[in-house]
Amino acid sequence: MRIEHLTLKVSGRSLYPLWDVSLRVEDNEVVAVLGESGGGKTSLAWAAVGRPLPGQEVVAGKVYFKGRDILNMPPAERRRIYFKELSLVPQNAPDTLHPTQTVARTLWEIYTAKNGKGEAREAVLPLLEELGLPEEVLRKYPHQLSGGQKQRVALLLALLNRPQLVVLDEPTSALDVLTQKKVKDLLGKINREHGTGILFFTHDVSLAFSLARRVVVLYGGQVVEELPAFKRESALHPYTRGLLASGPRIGDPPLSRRGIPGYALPLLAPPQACSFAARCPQARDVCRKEAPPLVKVGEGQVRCFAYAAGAQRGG
Amino acid sequence: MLLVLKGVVKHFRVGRERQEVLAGVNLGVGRGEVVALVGASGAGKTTLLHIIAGLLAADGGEAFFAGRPLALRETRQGREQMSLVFQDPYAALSPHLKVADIVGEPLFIRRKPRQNVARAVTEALHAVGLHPAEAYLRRYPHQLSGGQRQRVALARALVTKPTLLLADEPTSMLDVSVGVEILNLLRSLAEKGMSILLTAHDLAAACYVADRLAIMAEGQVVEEGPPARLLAAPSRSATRELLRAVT
Amino acid sequence: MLDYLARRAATYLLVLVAALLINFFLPRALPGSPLEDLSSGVGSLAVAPDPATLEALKRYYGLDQPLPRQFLQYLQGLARGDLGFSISYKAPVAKVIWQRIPWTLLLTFSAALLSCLLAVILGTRAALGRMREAAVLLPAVVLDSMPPFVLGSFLLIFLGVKLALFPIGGAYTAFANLAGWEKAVDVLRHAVLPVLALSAHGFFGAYLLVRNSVRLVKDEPYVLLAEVKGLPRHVIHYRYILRMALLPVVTFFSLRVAYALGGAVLVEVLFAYPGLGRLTYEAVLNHDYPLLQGVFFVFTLWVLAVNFLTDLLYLKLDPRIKEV
Ligand SMILES: Nc1ncnc2c1ncn2[C@@H]1O[C@H](COP(=O)(O)OP(=O)(O)OP(=O)(O)O)[C@@H](O)[C@H]1O
Ligand code: SF4
Ligand SMILES: [Mg+2]
Repeated sequence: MRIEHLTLKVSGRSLYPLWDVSLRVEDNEVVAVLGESGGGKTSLAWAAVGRPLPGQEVVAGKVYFKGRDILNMPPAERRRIYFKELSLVPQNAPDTLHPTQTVARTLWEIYTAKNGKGEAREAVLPLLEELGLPEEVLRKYPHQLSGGQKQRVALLLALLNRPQLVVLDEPTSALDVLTQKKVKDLLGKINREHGTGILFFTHDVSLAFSLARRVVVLYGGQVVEELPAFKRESALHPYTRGLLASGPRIGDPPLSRRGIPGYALPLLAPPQACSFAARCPQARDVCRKEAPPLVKVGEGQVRCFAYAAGAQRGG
Repeated sequence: MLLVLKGVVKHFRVGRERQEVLAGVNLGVGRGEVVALVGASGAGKTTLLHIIAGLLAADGGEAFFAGRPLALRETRQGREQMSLVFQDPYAALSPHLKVADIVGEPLFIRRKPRQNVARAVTEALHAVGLHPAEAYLRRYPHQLSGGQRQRVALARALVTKPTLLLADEPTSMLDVSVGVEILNLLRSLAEKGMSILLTAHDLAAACYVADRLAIMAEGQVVEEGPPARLLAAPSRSATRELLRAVT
Repeated sequence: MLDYLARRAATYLLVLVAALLINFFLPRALPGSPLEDLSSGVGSLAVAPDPATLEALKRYYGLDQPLPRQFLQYLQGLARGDLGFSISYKAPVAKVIWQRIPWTLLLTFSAALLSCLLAVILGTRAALGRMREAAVLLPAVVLDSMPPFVLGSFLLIFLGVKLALFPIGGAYTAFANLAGWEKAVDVLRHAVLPVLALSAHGFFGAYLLVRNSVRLVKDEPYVLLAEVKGLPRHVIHYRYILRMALLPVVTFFSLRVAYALGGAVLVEVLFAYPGLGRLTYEAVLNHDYPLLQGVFFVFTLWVLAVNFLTDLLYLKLDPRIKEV
């Protein structure tokens, strides 16, 4: 999947959930998009599968899935791809199950829509086991399941037809720690064993860096940094660094961590300054007058004047 | 010990079945101590907090607060020295009240004179790091960020100068870059002598603020102790499982 | 599930008892008496009976007994399926009513079906942005503000008398001795005007209900995801949007059917339609207590039965209900 210069606008208002976002996911790759609330994760997740959220419109940019422009594809073709080659597990996954259908029916529906008639059971049972769900959830209605179970059913639905790429928005944030761990392990496993590509959106720093190979950091609707996961400790952008410094890890003494003062503002107009300037400890005059470009630094990219100058000088 | 709980029991009815949510909880909180209740969802953390705060009546057990018996079935009395902060800062503040009124409300209810209230509100806002207080007094909740809302909720809890602060997942709805500041704030309140009992499902956050962890599983405190000792040598499977999940 | 049904049934039983009490005492609270009507000569008796005959008649119909006694007899009769004997029709009430029921069913069901069907089609199209609403709103508001019998009068005058497109009264052509298809067409032609008059009223409410309901449902997370699941369009439309959006419409429909009898009275009178509505009217005019009681009893059963069926239907349509 390749996302190129994607800009989204809220219809009828001067508000941009995403501005000039580019991103790619290779075959079998796991990519994390890391960002805090309002960063634009959910907007990007839906646009990435070619179906922007209601109330938002694409004003520029393209999304290619397997080389084909998925935003402008005839709907019938897009339907063929969905949940067969490309699946989405949305943020509020528990609310996305049909409320008056049993889980079995919802699963069967998606199975037969993609494979014609067939034994959905054989595809379902192994996945149930991997997800740690008892077989009786199949007979139940969504309201009879716990939040964690619903989240896993949504995951099961997305993985049922063994797609090449799954897009997941906050796959673990609604779960308790023990279930989070299970889901994380499962995602790693399907990537290794079935070669499923994964693009996931999260605010959880440690999940992003431990599950993904590449991490893209989203702030205020823009990509501010992209780096290989193993470069966690040498992140460059002040926001990424602030984020890495703020989440306490086990063993940290009290009061040893600092958050980032202030809060993120939505993008109201084409950026004319660094969106992080109001919170950035290293902000300079230029940061408030011009929008920093995204430049390549080493194996990653970063959008910050502190590195822009050096990169330009260097090449 | 400021707060002592012995054998607290609570049942809920689910349809026809009786479900035991708390099955005899024993727990103590010392003066100036931060205790974190940690456990998977459904372990009964919030229920316990609500019983202590008097939002729910327990079905059994005893409790002592500041040396006096605390009625667990009678939910109104003996809670003047406690305050509770809810999990969701977006839902906990009345949207039609200004910050000054939200924070001052507990004092108005106690019929304190207007001037004293104004002074106490300003102090409470400063204590949670919202200064100058004047910049916030006339705002409505929707004009605040999530972290600021949680601070306002904390200020409201602190305005009565409680000796025990109860906090239910105080940071789980906040961004980490914002939540850690709230944790730091709780910690510094404790250094000034306040006792805090909080719940957390995030083990790392709990270890970060607490003097002592109490691991809850299936309605009981199965293990407790200082974070370092508990994590180095967990003796119960519930603790080990939680630990495995984060490392 | 059984628990739920048992609880519902108990509630209905209570309502039924209360309704029986009202049914019995209300007609007796009306001024006048059935035998007065007989004696004044408007009824079918041409001569004014002498006091002795009146007494005999009173005794015959049980009207000389104390009220509680009459009530007991009434209940005993009900238990045997005997609704009493109509004074004005001189036939068993049950039989008189039984003949009228099919006609009223035909009217009320067709009217409710017509208005709900139209509301579903137009409301859905409007909510999904496939139609301009203005075209529906104005006529719907005008029609809705008109009581059914006023609209009925217009229809009667224009379509029935002026254009003579449809027959103006009755449920079928008398003495025509039609059979099979011809008879069916004849009956339908007679039903058109009263059904139109009844269905126009209330269409607007149904339309708004459907439109708003579909609007809400179409942005529900499970519908949004259904689109990205690549399910066929008709599945999303019918199984995901309509099925959920129409749940409130089921209630609306059943209310329409349940209470349509009330609205049907004047329309049936207007079109001289031989249904329960007109029968009620006649029973009131003639102070025919047993008949009036019988009609009310059937109304009550009708409302309760429709409600109960709706409950059952809901259990099937929305499994979330079982829990409460
Ligand atoms: N329809 C809309 N109307 C107004 N604002 C919108 C709309 N859709 C998105 N936004 C704004 O766009 C920005 C990005 O929203 P988005 O939901 O994508 O963020 P997110 O990163 O997923 O946040 P979270 O972590 O809270 O889920 C936010 O500031 C949001 O308020
Ligand atoms: S551009 Fe300036 S304000 Fe923005 S992150 Fe870099 S240093 Fe900070
Ligand atoms: Mg989101």
